[in-house]
Amino acid sequence: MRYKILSVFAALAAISACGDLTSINKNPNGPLDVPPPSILPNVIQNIVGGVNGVNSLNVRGGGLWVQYYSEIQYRDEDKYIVRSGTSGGWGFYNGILEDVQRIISKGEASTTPNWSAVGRILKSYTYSVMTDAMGDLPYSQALKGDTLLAPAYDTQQQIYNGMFADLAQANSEMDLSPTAFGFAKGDIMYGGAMTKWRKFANSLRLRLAIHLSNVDATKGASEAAAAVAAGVFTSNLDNAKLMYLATSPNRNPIYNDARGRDDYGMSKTYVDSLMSWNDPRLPVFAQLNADTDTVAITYQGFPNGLNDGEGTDLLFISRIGAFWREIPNAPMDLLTYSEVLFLEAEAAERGWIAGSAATLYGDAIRASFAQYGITDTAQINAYLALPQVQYVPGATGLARIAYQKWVSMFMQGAEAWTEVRRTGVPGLVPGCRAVMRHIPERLPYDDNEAVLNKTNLDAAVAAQGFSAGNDITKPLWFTGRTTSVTYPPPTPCP
Amino acid sequence: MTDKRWFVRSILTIGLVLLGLVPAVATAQEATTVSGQVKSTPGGQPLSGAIVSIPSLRVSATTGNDGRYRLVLPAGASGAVQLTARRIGYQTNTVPVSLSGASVEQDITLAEGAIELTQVVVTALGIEREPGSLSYAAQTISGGRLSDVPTQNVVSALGGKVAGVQVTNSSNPFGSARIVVRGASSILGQNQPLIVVDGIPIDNSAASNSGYGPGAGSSLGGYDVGNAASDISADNIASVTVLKGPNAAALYGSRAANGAIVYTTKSGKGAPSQGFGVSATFGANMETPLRLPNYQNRYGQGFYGEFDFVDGNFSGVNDGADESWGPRMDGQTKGCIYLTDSLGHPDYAAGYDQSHDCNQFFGPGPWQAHPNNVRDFWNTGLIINANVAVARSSDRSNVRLSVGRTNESGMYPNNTNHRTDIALSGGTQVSDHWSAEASVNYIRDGMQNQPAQAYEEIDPMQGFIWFGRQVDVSMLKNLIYRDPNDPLTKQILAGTTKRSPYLRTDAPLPYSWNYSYHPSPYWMTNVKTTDYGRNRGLGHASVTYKVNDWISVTGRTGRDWYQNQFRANYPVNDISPFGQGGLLDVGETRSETNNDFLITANRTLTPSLSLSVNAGGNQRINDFNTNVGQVSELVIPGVYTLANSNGSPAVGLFVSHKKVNSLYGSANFNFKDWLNVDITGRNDWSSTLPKNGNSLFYPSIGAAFVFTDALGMQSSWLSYGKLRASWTRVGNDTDPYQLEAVYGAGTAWAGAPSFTAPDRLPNASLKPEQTTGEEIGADLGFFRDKLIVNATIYQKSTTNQILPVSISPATGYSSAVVNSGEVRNRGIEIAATMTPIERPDFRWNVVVNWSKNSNKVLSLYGGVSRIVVGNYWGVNVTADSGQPYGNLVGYRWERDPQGHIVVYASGPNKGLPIADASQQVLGNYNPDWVGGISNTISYKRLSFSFSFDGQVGGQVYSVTKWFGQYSGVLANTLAGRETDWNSPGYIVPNAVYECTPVPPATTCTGFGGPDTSHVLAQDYWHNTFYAQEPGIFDATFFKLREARLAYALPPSVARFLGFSDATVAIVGRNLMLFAKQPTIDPETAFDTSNRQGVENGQLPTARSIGFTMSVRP
Repeated sequence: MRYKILSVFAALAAISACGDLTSINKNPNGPLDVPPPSILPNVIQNIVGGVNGVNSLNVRGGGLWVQYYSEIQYRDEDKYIVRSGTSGGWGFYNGILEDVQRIISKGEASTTPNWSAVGRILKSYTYSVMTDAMGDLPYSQALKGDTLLAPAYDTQQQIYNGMFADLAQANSEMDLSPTAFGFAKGDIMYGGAMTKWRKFANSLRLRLAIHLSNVDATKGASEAAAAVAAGVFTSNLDNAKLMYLATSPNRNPIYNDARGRDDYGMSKTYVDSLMSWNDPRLPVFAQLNADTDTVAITYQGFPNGLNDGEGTDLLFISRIGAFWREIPNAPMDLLTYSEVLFLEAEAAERGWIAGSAATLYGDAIRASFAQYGITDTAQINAYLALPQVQYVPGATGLARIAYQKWVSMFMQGAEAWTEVRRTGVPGLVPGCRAVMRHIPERLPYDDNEAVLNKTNLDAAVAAQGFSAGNDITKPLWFTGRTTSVTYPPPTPCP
Repeated sequence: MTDKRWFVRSILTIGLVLLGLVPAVATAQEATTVSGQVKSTPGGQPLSGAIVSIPSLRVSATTGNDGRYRLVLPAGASGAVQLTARRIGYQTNTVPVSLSGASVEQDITLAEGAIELTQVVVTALGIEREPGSLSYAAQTISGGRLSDVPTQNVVSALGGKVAGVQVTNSSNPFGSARIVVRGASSILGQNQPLIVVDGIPIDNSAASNSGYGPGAGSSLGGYDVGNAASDISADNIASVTVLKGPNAAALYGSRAANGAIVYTTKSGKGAPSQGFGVSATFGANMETPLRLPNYQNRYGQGFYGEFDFVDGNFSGVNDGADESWGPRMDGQTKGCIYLTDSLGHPDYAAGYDQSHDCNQFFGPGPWQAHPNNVRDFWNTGLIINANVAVARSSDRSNVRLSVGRTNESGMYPNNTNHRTDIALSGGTQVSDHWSAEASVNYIRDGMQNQPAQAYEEIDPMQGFIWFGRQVDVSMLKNLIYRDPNDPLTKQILAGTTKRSPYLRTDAPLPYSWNYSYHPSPYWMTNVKTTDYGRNRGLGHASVTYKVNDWISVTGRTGRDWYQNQFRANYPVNDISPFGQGGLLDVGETRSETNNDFLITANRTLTPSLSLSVNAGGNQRINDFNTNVGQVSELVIPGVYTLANSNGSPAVGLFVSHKKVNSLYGSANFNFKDWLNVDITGRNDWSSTLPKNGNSLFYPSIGAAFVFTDALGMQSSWLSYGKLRASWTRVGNDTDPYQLEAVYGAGTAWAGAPSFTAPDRLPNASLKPEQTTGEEIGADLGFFRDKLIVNATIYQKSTTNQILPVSISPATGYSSAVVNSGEVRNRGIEIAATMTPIERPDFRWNVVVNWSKNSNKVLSLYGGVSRIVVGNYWGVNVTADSGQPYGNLVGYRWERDPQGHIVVYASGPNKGLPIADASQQVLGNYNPDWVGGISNTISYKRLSFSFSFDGQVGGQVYSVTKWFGQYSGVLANTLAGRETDWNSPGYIVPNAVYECTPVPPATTCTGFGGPDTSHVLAQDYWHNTFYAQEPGIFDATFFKLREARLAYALPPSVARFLGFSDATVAIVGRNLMLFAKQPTIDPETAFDTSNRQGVENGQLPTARSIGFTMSVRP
């Protein structure tokens, strides 16, 4: 009997030790690999929502600081108090860029140049927003988690050089033949039209070239000329934008946010400016305030930077336009024809490209009107005829381009903030209760970077002269400035 | 790992060789016998499973179903010896027997146990051991201690009753309890012990409050449906043993690091053989809130002293505000807004507009406080529970069937919970060699319209933190919807046409006090319904073949299977989380299957040395799958189906499988009953680890030395003394699928799927966590065991921690799985039982448990000095290298070198505190010590028992306090507005002005003078948002946890009522709370994860008072 027991024991021992355990641990909950067309839709949604949604780059930061909007409840960022956890898009690294990097690698590995080209364009777009918001960033050592857990920071200039190279390569490597393998259904922005992606690459290259106007005009000029020569947007049909859908979960983020929250109104600065110039776009960008007996129905912005409960009752404040707030399938833009014309106008004014700055400037304003369906010629001509709108060559022209661009880039707060910091136009006065007397120069690095990548962060902070990773007072390299324009506080506060 | 295998093989070989040798040394002598029956007192029921021994002769036997035992003694044994009988749940009894060569008949009675520290202990793998032989700390308590005062959770019933155990309860009676033995040792892994029922490990996972609800997966919180072990009915438990450390639990291998809780359920053994033995218990308890936040009752809703309702959504003056900075509540019917100046701004000098009505959500009315408006919302809950058990046994078989039912109508209006429990167990001796036993237990839980604990509108207390103190909640109770013809209804609908929350007119409008953030709490209870159900089957079957009288083989299979189904209906006009209505439906199935075998051999090697050997193997399979469907906008109000979704519903599936194979063995050498040496070894092969590194060996060794027996040291004051020491190394394994990463689901576009790269960098060469434990202890009996003290000092150190550490997202991943880090726990635990008074009809018994654990994170990953375990509203719960685990990290107020708070010296924020530039450690959630004391005083048929337990030290980050201050509802926010909302203002005590350079200097040299600037109370308390320090408090507390006054009816009265015996009792639980702060119950488990020490929207803890009755016909 003892031997029987022993043999049973031995048999059980053998079963225990030798069962195939490894195959049980194959994860059935997702694919180990997927082709780029299945990755791209999520990437595009994350970029558009991440750059232009209700977050620190647009409604809750950049767009607030160029005074498109104002916080009407929980008014922290409007006072330049950046709540902890806020960054200038740090989450894009693992939320967007890792996916984009895989698209590029898969394109290179399978010699499908259109995959890697689109990947390079979106990578550059994302990095450009991040560096313009935060400064130096992990770039050449980033996205190498398998081997490099503490990436060093590249300077903003190095990142710009990298982006120019990537965009040039995207332009040149793209295969425009009709049979070329692209994204088909996965391309929710251009529906697989590679010619439009190519224009997007060159238009973005032009935008980044102009960004260098204060720091490296030579490089800016050559990049701008190359971009325009390679072909940029030629109509609003080329716009890089995402047409959201009417149904969840693909609705535009402004609409979504407004279903549950009511934290943002129109800024008094912006509304007053458009109203005084009788801008026909105001009814698109803003809603009328509420119907009461005591106050006339009108467009009324709210001053930036007041304490909670201060100022007029919320009833009397205009909200963001119905175009976004009330229409779930409204588009959100990454780069438009109108902006490209402003960029060309500036390049022409600076002599970087041939062409008439005045014509391009006028076309830019017209394109902006057209973008929002404003076709009334009389109205458009009246606006263009305003003395303060008419183009004047020279420094005044550059300022007018900058001002008109600020007006036209509503709902693209990140880029508008970049341009305001570069051009100083318009000169924006911080709100009454703001904790500093100039608009924020940057957004913080991620809080956790001080724990997770401290040595490299500290080096980058020191190299740029910041007091800490969340210092928002120091101008970035691309602005060409070392100090900010400060404004005295208005007295008294309301 | 292969180098470890020789060890397990050697042990097994040695054990088997010894077994083979043993018969050779067995001697054949003519024997005499001592036999008799063991019975309970009072009652006289035969007791099976009692161990009867004559220690001096080293013989022992176990009673059969009839309670009878038979000891065979070596011939020649004579003289006076002590005959001892022990059984779980009873006090050990010893009687003298005189041996003279002839057979002796001797019965023994055992009294039901109050002294707990001397009972037989059920150790790992279900092996029963004499406590004197144990080389490690284990503590057993009888089932009665768990069920005397009814509780819905057998895990929380352990609180304060076992030294070294910390139980953290949630406030909901059907909610979860977290249990940790000897401190947390795993940084991000499991820290709760293994739960074993009748030898079968069961699942104790908790969906908890991050599992279900709109906050699922995020940190917002959700519905707490109870930890899975709470399904075990306390009425069915015979005893529970806590195997406190890895040393005691070493045989469980990769799940032993956190100790084990071993429940033994009642069986039919010892039940009468004629008719059925029936027992029944019944209890009814009323529940009321133990504590609610301390609210202020001077100022109502609004900002800056003004409020005027138009649509509850900022169309009026501050009428969307969910804060209480409004006008003083003096009962005025007019004058709640100021007169205005020419610009429309309030003219404070001109005073309130006495011609304007104080418009509120119900129309114009008096502006007055309703101090009990939160208290009044809560009902008096009622819990009724009943359990009936029948059992029968014969000399070869036994069977027991019990049926239990608990019904609760909760304190939360319209909330009902119930649990049905059916347990059937039986055993039979088929032949002299074969026996079998089996049990099945079916449990059905249901919870309808449960409140949730979350930063979300599913938590009623959330709406009472962000609240207007003037709101008369009883008005909301009577009306659920607005009358569509009421002008105010039209005003509300019209006023919101341009802004959120975009109330829909195709569905009725809830009658609420606020339309910007909060629905009416009564509307939530009646319309926003949830339904949760859990079906669970637990069972095992085993067959034992007894080879001869000292060796037996058991094969066993056990399975724990359950299915959760959760449904939440979010009606249209819900405001949050789904203003347009929605639906959440979650189905989950979980199971754990264990197949094992065990060979047991007990042999006396020489008259003074005996050996028992166990060897076995186990195969464990864990399966989990879940499916989720969510709709976030309904097309047709009131129809809760996936098809009624505007846009694609979100759906998800997840499955996981895991398998662990194991072989193990143990050997116990017993020398003259005063020296015991234990050796154990276990090898696990886990599917979750890489193929070449999935074999893990876990050894332990220990010794126990009863020095009073060995050295003959017994005296009148020292009746018993034992020293023990042990060492072990065990593990803590990991979840499936950590070795490679798959793409996750991105946001689909127009219904077409999209994928996104994984965020967690996998690790293809993962190893298990390893815990090394050492402990030494002493068990001492004084004054003829009237004072028994068990003391243990332990250290356990966990290395190779499996950490999904955060890494810089710039790598492309937000986390990586690594093996790194070491946490050490050291501590002391003391359990003492005293019987200060013991007279024939009067007895006072005291049990004290006390433990102190100190914890230190010795190292982390690479150069990382901090790992974030979890976060909540600005506070990170962290593991910081060189510091105790569980730091609460957030922003403090800036201080000058003398410790004064620094405030702004100028500008619009003058006088307001400034937050530090970087985060700091604000506290730690671990207490300095925990303890409990229970007293039982019995006089004749009356007995009175009560127990206190609690903790000293530790901090809690209370978002209730933090935001309750921000919103002005808590009593301390009256500071600064003692006179009126704007006077006298608040001066930060002992503060100094910040350092400001005096022009032309550009740097400053020191801080400014003392702060004398009055700031508005509202501005001061709003400013507290910028630091988490104002939400931290000391969690020290003690609770009068249980009290019970019981009376056993005289037999004549019981018989007159038709019972053989009957006991009635008045019982209470959570009767009193003593805490250092007044806002919440500091004993707070926001969930059962490692993210402890944070709280928000705490549901009130139930204080229950009621009666119980238990009878036997």
